[in-house]
Parts: sequence; structure tokens; C-alpha cells
Amino acid sequence: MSSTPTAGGRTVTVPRRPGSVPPAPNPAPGGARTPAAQPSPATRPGRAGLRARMRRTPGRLRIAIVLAVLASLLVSLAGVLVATLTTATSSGVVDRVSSILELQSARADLVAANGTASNAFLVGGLEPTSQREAYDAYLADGATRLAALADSSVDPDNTLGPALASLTTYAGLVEQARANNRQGFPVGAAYLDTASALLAEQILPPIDAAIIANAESTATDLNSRAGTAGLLWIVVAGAAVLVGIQIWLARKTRRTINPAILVGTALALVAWLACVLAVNTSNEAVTETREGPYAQTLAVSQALSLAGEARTAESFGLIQRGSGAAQEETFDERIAQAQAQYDRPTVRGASSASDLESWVGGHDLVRELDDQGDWDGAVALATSTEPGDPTALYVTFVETATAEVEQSSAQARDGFRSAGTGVVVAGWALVAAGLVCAVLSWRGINKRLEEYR
Amino acid sequence: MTANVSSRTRARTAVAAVLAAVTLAACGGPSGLDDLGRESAAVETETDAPATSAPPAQATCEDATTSYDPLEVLPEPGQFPAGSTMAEIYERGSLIAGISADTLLMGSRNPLTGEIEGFDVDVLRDVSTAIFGSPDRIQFRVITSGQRVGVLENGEVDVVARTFSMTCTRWETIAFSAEYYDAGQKVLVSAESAATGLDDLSGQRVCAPEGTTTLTRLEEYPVEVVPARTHTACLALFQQSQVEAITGDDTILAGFAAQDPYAKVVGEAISTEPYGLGLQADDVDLVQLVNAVLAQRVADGRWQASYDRWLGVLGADAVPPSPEYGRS
Repeated sequence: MSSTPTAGGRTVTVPRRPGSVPPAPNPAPGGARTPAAQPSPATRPGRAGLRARMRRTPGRLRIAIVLAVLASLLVSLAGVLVATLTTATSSGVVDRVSSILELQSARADLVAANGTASNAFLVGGLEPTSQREAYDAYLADGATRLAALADSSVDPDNTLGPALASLTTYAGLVEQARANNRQGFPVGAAYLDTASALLAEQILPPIDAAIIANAESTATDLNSRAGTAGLLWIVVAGAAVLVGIQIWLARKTRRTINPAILVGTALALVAWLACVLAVNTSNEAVTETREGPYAQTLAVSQALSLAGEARTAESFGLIQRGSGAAQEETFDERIAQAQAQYDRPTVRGASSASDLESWVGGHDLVRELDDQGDWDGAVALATSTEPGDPTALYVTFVETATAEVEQSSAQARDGFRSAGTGVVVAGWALVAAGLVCAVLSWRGINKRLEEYR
Repeated sequence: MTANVSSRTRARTAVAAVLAAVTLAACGGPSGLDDLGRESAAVETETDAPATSAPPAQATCEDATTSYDPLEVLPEPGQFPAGSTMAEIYERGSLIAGISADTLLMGSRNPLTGEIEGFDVDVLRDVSTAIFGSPDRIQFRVITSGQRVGVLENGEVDVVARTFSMTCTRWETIAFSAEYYDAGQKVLVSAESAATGLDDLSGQRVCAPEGTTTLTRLEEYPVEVVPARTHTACLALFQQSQVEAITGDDTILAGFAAQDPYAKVVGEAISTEPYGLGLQADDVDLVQLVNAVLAQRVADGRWQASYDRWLGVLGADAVPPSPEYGRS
């Protein structure tokens, strides 16, 4: 508004039209203008006019509308990020748990196949049909799993492909061992030895590396999920902007509170609080699953695989008849690693641990016989399938451990999947709250703006 | 009042939980190895390095085949002087012997019967008979070529019967019986090969077991030396075309040829390999008893019968080596 003198000496106040152009400044002394000082016809008056408009209240109200809407949309953006990231990491973690389990199963199958082939070698030239069938089944299962994994995202560096090729060579070596053994040729033992070395040096290491890589990726996802809460600072920033606008409006207008912005801000903050609590609850659930069924799945599946390697060492110890000390060291090492898995504080109530102990007790009897010079007795005990004998104890351990892995892995997948549900819902609620807040903020400030029209 | 305090406490706890959750951003957590319960160092799959021993340096002497004098009269089984090595073994109940279980014809496990059998094993059975009156009181320890000296030095076995060449270097730490077979180092090649010896295999891959005199001698020829853990492992490599030839004692190669119709043993022996039973250096009394047994089995035809059964493929005109005694 401005005051203009009238002919009667009074002054009247006329409202200044929004966007009115201020009077042009006086020309420079002498009336001359330097070219640099002369504004270009198109831009100078436009920029100056814009700046002038922004200095006035309606212009500032328009800026406030833009800021409030942007702040509200920022709240929505945080909700989108929280919801989509949580969905993606939940899905990724569940998939990787399945992948790790498949890798562990493939490893355990191949180790079991090797152990069965070695054990069958002890019997003589004509291996028992049941052991032959067991070897074929283990090898087929392991190869099928490995083939599926080699052609997937589980193996981005394609290290499982060469391992799969080596597995073909391994199977060929075992067949040569079997054929020579059947003819009574000692070279069969050399083929079996070569096959085992191939498995240990070229097939199992890539599988182990893939297991570790996937476990690391899972850990990264789980850890980053805990950091999802950090995204919620965006909401706090957006709310701070809205509160700032509210305070500015209170100073500029006679109304202390703009109800629309207040409701919008409150909605955003309620949604934010729900999100924070959901993330907190989710993190607790993830930690519980990670330290519970997930840890148990990894521990028991690794123990299963390590026990298979130990059993192979037992058979090679007997094949080397009385000179199996090095193999016994391998046996002890693998069993110690398996027991260490069961001893982890996060692994509780795995009954396969006691079954492992029972089988190790049976193994000790086998070694005792061999060390005393009763090799025939040791072999008879190691290859017997009678209940209570080492082979039956080993089978019991494998069955119990396999069932435990299946159960705990299902729990782990369910736990990781459901842990993200609340966060996703809260995230989308935050999106909705942000959008509503944007509309309310626009309407709330626009009402004040209309008073100037 | 109490209710107010309690509600305030709850409120503070809730605020603390919210702050804690919000400030968790970007915090670290357990790694994948932690989840797996593994140490980073344990990730690498260990591969057992073969227990190799360096091939023995070739010391020279004139009496490598000279052993201790045999007992003039073999005592009855179990009737040994108190404190003697034989009495100790008799008390234990078994003769602990280092053998091969995969050298066909010399010492190998028959997969059909499960028994260890061969020319070397026949000698051990006769020694067992002399001590116990039974050929079956033997506790077999399967060893590799490279372990032969070590198991005697460590006292792990009483005797080694595993195509064991008598050398001056080995005499420095262990004892030998009198020579019971005179072998020679030859070459095994593919049946279609035109090679007639190591000289014809220049630049080609030739396999020999680690820790043997065979490997040491092979290094004198212009071939690519491929060591293996055992001699039988060489045969597996040969059948997989990973080596073109195998060198070794004719006794061992004869066993290989028997397992592979597409292989043949060629050329003249490039060395003589006098086989003796290895014994612990201090067990001179046991060496003397073994020498008496060896002489007896030559005299009564058991040596010839064993040769005909196992090594007849090497020729029908073989004669037992003449034992040399007099070591003191």
C-alpha cells in the first residue's frame, strides 16, 4: 500500500496492486548512462521485478507454498525409500538364505558322495549295491544343485562353472577307481586318492568362496537394513521446514496457527513416529532371527558338511592301513570345527550335536582296533550297518542334522520376511501422510495469499 | 504422584528408543564370516601338502650290500634271549611291518580277499614264522616310499619290506638285512611307443615317486621329471596321459604292466637296486635272525617258489642274490 497526496491536502491510501512496478530510479547525473549500467530490455526489468515481488508478502507467501509442498514431498520421498529399500533387502536376504543353504547342501552332498565311495572301497572289489546307489544319489543331487547355482546370481564371478567341470572329472576318476578295484588292480586306490584331492582342491574351495560371498552380502543387507532408520531424518528435516513456515506465518499474519499446516505437520510426524517404531521393532526381529534360526541354519549345515569330510578321512585312514595318522589329524580337525559350530553362543538346542558325539565315539572304537593292529576288525566295524555301529550312528546324525537345517532355515526365511512387513506398511503410510501434508500446506497458505487479491 | 513418575519414565524410555532407532543409521554390524562362525584365516580350504622327503643324496661306499652275519642256528619260535629285540617283539605279540599296499606283485592289497600279498610280503611271513611259529602275526603299516627311512628312525615299525634299495646313505641311519632280490631300474612306456630307454624320452614327462633313489637318478637324464606321492600314483598319471613314461624298478613296473595291457617295460636296467629288509639301526640281533631266515628260504626253495609266483613275468632264469656278510 502507498499514500498519495490529494488536491485538498489530504492523503488517501490506495492498495498497491500486487506486482506493480516501482518507480524508475533517477537517471545518473548528466543524464548519461553507461552501456554497462543500462539494463537489457528483456532481462533487467524482469529480474528486478521478480526480486521486488518476492520482497513483498504475497511473493513470500508463494515461496512459502513452494517450500511447504517440497518439504511435504520430502516426507513422502523418505517413505518411498524406506518402503522400497525394506522390501528389496527383505527379498534379497530371503533369497540369499536359500542360496547359502543350497550351496551348503551341494557341498554336503559331494562330501557325502566322496565319503561313501571311500567307505565302499574298504569292502573290497565288489562294493555293496546300497553304497553304490547312495554314492550315485549324493553325486546326482550335488551336481544338480551345483549346476543350478552356477547359472544364477549366486555366482556372479562364475567360479562354480569350473568347479562343475571338475566334478565331471571327479566322477570319471571314481569310476576308474571302481573299475580297477573290481578287477583287483591296486591302481584303483590311486584313482580314488586323485579324485579326493581334486574334490578338496578344485571343487570345494569355489563352493566355500560362494558361501562366504553370499553370507557377506546377506550381512551387508541385514546391516544396511538397520540403517534404514537414518532415512527418517529426512522427515525430521521436512517437519522442521513446515514448523518454520508456521512460525513465519504467525509473525506475518494475525493468526497464530495455520490449522491446515498444523494438521499436515502432525500427520507427517505421527507417520514418522510409526515408522521409527516399526523400524525399531523390525530391527529387533531381524536381530532375533539372525542370532536364532539363521545362526542355527549356518552352524548345523556347516557341521554336517565337516562331518562328511571327517568320515572320508576315516575311510582313507583305514585304506592306508595302520598309517592313517595324517588322516586322523584331518578327522580331529574337522570334528573340532563342527563342534565349534555347535558351541557358538547363538546355537541352542541342536540335538544333532549329541548325535555327532555318538558317532565320534564309534569312530574312536574303529581307530582303537586299527591302532591295535586289528585292521580287519576296524574295517568290519567301519562298514557295518548294524544298529549302534558307527555307520548307523553317522546316518542318524545326518538325518537329525538335515531335519534341523530344514526347520531352522524355514524359520529364518519366515523371520526375515515378516520382519520387514511393518516397516513397509509404515513407509507407505508416511508417503500418504506427506502427500496429504502437501495438499493441506498449499491450501493453508493459499488462503492467506487470497487475502491479497 | 507415583503414576506421574511412572508415566514420565515410560515417556523417557519411549523417547530414548525412538532416538536410538533414528541414530542407528549406517552403524556397522556382524560380517558374513561372523554369521558363519569362521575366522578369516580358516576360510581357505587347507590342502594337505604331500609328506615328501628329499631324495637321498647318493653317498658312495663299497659295502652297501654288506649286512651283519646271520645267526648260525635259528632258535625255536619264542625261545629268544631275554632283552633281545626278538623277545620284545614276541612279548608284544606281533611284528610291526612297513609295507606297500598298492605295488602289485611286491606288496598290495587284494581287493577280492582283503589280504596284503606279494614277493615282499612273503619274506615278512617267513620272518613272522621264525619269531612266532605263525606267518600271520604281522601288524601291517602301509607307508609310502618316502616314509621308509623315517618310520624306522622313529621306531614306528620293526621292519620295512617295501622294494627298499640298500644304499650307503641309508646305512647311516638304519640297518639292512642281506640282499634278497636284485632289481634294476627300467622304463615303462605306452605299448605303441618306439622308445627303448630314458635316452629316447628327451623332453618328455617321466614320473617317479618322491623320496626315492629312482627320482634322484632320473634327474641325470634330459627329461621333465614329474614326482608323485607313490609309484601307483604314477600309473594313474600315465593312464590319464599326464606323463609319457614311468621309471622304476623292474619289479614295480612288471606290476604296472600287469594292470595295463597298453603299457610295456623297455630297455636294459640303468642301475642295480639291491633289495634288503630295512630294520632299526640298533636291532642288530634282529638283523642277524632275518639274515638266517633269508638264507634258509633260499636253501629250501621258498625264495624260488615266491619268485615264480609273483615275479615269473620278469624271466624264468632268475637266481637269488649271493648274500654278503661281515658288517660290524
